[in-house]
Amino acid sequence: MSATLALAKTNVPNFAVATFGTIGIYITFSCIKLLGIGLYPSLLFCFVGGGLVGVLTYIFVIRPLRRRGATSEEIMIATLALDIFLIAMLNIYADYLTRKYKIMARDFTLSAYDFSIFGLDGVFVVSTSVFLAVLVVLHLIFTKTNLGIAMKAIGENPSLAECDGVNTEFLYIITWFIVGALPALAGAFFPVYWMSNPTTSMFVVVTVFSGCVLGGFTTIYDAAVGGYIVAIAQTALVSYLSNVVGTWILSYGFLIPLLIMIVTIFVFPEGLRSLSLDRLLRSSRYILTRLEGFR
Amino acid sequence: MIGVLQLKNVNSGYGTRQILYDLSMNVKKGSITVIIGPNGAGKTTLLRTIMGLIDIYSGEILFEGKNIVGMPTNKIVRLGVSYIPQRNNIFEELTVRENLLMGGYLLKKDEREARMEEVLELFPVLGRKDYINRKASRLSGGERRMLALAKGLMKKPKLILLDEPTEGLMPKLTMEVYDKIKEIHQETGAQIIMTEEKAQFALELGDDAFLLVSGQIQDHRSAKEMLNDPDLREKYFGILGVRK
Repeated sequence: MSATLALAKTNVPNFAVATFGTIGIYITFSCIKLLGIGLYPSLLFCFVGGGLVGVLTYIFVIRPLRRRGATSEEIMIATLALDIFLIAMLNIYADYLTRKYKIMARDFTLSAYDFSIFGLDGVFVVSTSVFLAVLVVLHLIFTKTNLGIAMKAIGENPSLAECDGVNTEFLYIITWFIVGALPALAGAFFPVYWMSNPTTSMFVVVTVFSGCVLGGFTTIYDAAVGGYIVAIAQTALVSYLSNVVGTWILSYGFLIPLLIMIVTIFVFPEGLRSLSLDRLLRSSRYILTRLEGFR
Repeated sequence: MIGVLQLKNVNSGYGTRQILYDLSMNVKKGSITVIIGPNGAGKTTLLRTIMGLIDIYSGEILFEGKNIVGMPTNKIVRLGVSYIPQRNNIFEELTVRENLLMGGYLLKKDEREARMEEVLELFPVLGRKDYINRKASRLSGGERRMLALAKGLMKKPKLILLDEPTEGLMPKLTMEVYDKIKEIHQETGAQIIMTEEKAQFALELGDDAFLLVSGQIQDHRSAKEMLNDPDLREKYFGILGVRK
């Protein structure tokens, strides 16, 4: 949702989005280990901290480049550079935590801090609730408020929005706050299930962009649906395949979102929204025919 | 007489490419001011300069006596200036209603709803049930111009800058747009500055006129005088469009 928001509203393909998530991981980790704050109360710190990183990204990277007339492609490359910079900073931070506080700040999980409710993992209940709450709040902002309509407007024509009296700079800052806050929130849940370290984003980024591409990079709703489909497909298929061919397949799990991304780009590049049932059937037939030919 | 808008020795352009040269203008209060000139004369640049959308190298622009040079565009709008660009003047992905709401972005919620009703009285077609929630991209060329005008009016402007409001429109639609501009001027009392290539149509509508050629004011007279000047007709109206 964050990557789609950045592209649709500010015309920036943000390749640092997954690392914004890793920042969330380390904010949660720091809250628990250093401040003694629980896993879920630390969500608030992730939201604010991630949002601030988003705002700083806009002020120190995106805005100066835009003022110098940089194209979207050039800004995209800058976000790749930012990604490398942030990963380096997270590595330094992890080393700092280890040396200063004697904490293992690499390859950790936070599953011990989760709770269980009616036989369900707390992370499942909380993450789903937070996701739905975020979706509803963003929906209300975009459709019911003046601010939300203005955000849609700056996505289409910032110069015209400025001529309507919109302070586009202010709106870009708000948008980038959300762009930073959402992945950081998601990152807070990540270490409950998965081993985390400063380079976690490198393994997640394909899944993130696969969800965006499948969603069509248009609206947050499409991005949410795309993200869920990719995540479920990846988890279910990897789990199934590991039973059939062996656990070695787990290391290649990221190939599934990659495959989804490739198929989406080749068969329906505008994403799920462009699909009708008829087109879906035709696409399936096309893929099956090609596969049979390949066999 | 000091006008509502004064430009004093304005030099402006895009980066290092200067378009306007030492341009001075005094726009009289309560009038429709027409700026005519051939293609590439700098008409659009002039309006964009007033709106703070273009670099000003030197000079002063006074709106109601206040220098607006260097002011962000959104603050100039807050002073009561409404700019309707020549192209891309509506948000295509938004509905008619959302476009109007964007036009009234600076108004308070209640005020905005009331203003929308007032504006839609001037543009009844846009207020129809089948139109108001329609995406702007689905409107015809003429309807888009009307929406752009309505959107501009939502701000309760003191000064409206219209950039070639009839560009690309058929003569019948051109006259409809002009009639609407006249009606807006009479109903709201807003000052209007309009650039046009279709000189004769515009001069018939306007009170005061400026001829802009190569980024410089070449002539300034009443619109009627300019309209009846045979020399001007011969020199410019041929390429600016004379109604037969």
